[in-house]
Amino acid sequence: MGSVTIAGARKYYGAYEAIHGIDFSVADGEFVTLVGPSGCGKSTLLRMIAGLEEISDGEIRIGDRVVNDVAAKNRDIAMVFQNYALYPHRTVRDNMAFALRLRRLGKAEVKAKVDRAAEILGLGDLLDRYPRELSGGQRQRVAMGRAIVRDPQVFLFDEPLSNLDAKLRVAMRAEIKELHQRLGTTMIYVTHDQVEAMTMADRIVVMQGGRVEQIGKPLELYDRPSNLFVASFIGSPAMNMLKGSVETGATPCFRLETGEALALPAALERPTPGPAIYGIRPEHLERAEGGGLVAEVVLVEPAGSETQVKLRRKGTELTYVCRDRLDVGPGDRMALVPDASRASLFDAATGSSLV
Amino acid sequence: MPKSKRNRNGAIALLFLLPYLVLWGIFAFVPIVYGFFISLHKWNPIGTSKFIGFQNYGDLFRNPRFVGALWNTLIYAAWAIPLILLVGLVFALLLRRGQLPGGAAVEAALFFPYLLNVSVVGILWRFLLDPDVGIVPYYLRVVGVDPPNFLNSPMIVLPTIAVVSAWWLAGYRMIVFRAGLNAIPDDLYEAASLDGAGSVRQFFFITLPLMRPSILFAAILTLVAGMCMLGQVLVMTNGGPGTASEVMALFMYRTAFESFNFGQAAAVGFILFVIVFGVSLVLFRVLGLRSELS
Repeated sequence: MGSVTIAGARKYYGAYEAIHGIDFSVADGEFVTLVGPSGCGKSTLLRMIAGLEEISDGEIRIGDRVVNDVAAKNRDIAMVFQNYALYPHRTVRDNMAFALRLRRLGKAEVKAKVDRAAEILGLGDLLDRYPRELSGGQRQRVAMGRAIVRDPQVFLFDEPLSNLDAKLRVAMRAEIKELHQRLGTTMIYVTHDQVEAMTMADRIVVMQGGRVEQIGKPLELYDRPSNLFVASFIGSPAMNMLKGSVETGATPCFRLETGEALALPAALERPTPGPAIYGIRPEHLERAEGGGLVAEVVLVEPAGSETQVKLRRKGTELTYVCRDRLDVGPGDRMALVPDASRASLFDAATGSSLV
Repeated sequence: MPKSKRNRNGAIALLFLLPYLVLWGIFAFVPIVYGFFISLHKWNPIGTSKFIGFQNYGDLFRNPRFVGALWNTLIYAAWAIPLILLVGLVFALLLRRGQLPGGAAVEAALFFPYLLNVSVVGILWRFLLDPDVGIVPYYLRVVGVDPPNFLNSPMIVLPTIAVVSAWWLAGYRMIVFRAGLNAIPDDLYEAASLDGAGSVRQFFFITLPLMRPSILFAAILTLVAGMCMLGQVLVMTNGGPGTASEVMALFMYRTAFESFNFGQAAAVGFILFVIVFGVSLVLFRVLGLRSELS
């Protein structure tokens, strides 16, 4: 069983608490990403699972076994590091075979396992090369090969693509996902790139300041963020945030600080009056003939498949994304209305979602 | 690349190297060649010198005192070189792993002797080891051990000087090894521990091979210090008892400045050079200069 359960896990460095009692579990065969900004504790948590950092409090289980006091080498996990961590003085074959030789497997078995992993990852021609003779993408593949040959219960990835260029990153992203589908092994993947998290994971754990902000499927997080942090972190370009307050009465609405009224999110069942923040994703704004939010175009970014427009209105910045090609330029004025059925609403004081 | 551009690049590279090459020529190459030239003569520094071919070399190898000095040098080197390197390496490893309480104080204490002049080191240890007033024999007596006469026993005088040299020089080797160790990324050790390697295997699989350039540097420094050692014996034993600690450098010094046989002294120097150069070449060959870490 390759499930991983984290219960009340804490990590202290002296008096500083880096991980504040985290609880979640990863099912056998699941692909979970830990995502968050730098310093949020995601790599620390991964290293605690790996056994490279001690667990100050709480419990981590791999399968049915509590591994708090189990050495890294006995946890039956494999890890792919950000800087690949390939042994630079050893060939690709030796890098991949090292763990197997330590387990005293026979030569033929080691060769068979290395050859199989090499075939899966397309490394067949590179087995006798040294890491310095490989490109970044090839090194990354060798690092994955080194993990695969061990046939572990759980794969851990610590920002494995962050040293690659954008194009290669997209290609490797697909390769890792394919690998997961092929092997069916549990994978826990740390990244600060929310696009990587969204596109690869079965479930995402969003972290900030050593705490879990939200756990859910990628589109759940995107459509129903539980708080302002998740709303602004997940999604690129980020969600537009508009300050104002909820008004109840004959016609309940969201009144912007600048005076305009917006329809309340459709999902909001019982509006309570008070200050709030209205969240709307850039692609959930629509052009209006009249009324709505009138804003001045600052920048137009045509990307071919879509057009991204940055606008400014009364001190607030807005982003609008549409699939159409737009004939607008800086200085033009556009009127936009939010699609209330896709909008979010957050408490202005706590940042928690109100819908 | 076209040939003309290659030539031009080569010329530019040579220009950058020129200041070093000039100094190396004046202070290394010319003295070695000139030393060899002197060794082929019955050298008279103020008069005419007579060319005698390799006679000085022949005389040396027929001289039991020289053969003894050569043997003493090898014995000293066999003790001192591993001792200096091992003490430096062990402390570098302990300090890296943070296993020593007060690591910074230990590092400073270990490096401090290297700042002393060899005369100070020699005089200090002559007192410390003095059979009558020395603190080392005193404490040995306290714990019930009959202390040997460290600097006056032919059997242990060279190992004793090797220990003193280790005290003096190991701190610098430790710094060199620390630099080499610090260049090895931690994630290699983490990857190895996940692969199932314990700390001993990690040392032989990762640390040693990836420290090769710093080991080479420290080994050559220590080889030169070991083969050409003079100051310690000059101050501590003056080659004694008898000629038990007369090493090649001391023999060369005496041949030149006590017997005024400069030709033969130059031959001793050239033999020393050949030994050090030869062993260094082997070390270069075995360890290699290139770092795997880039």
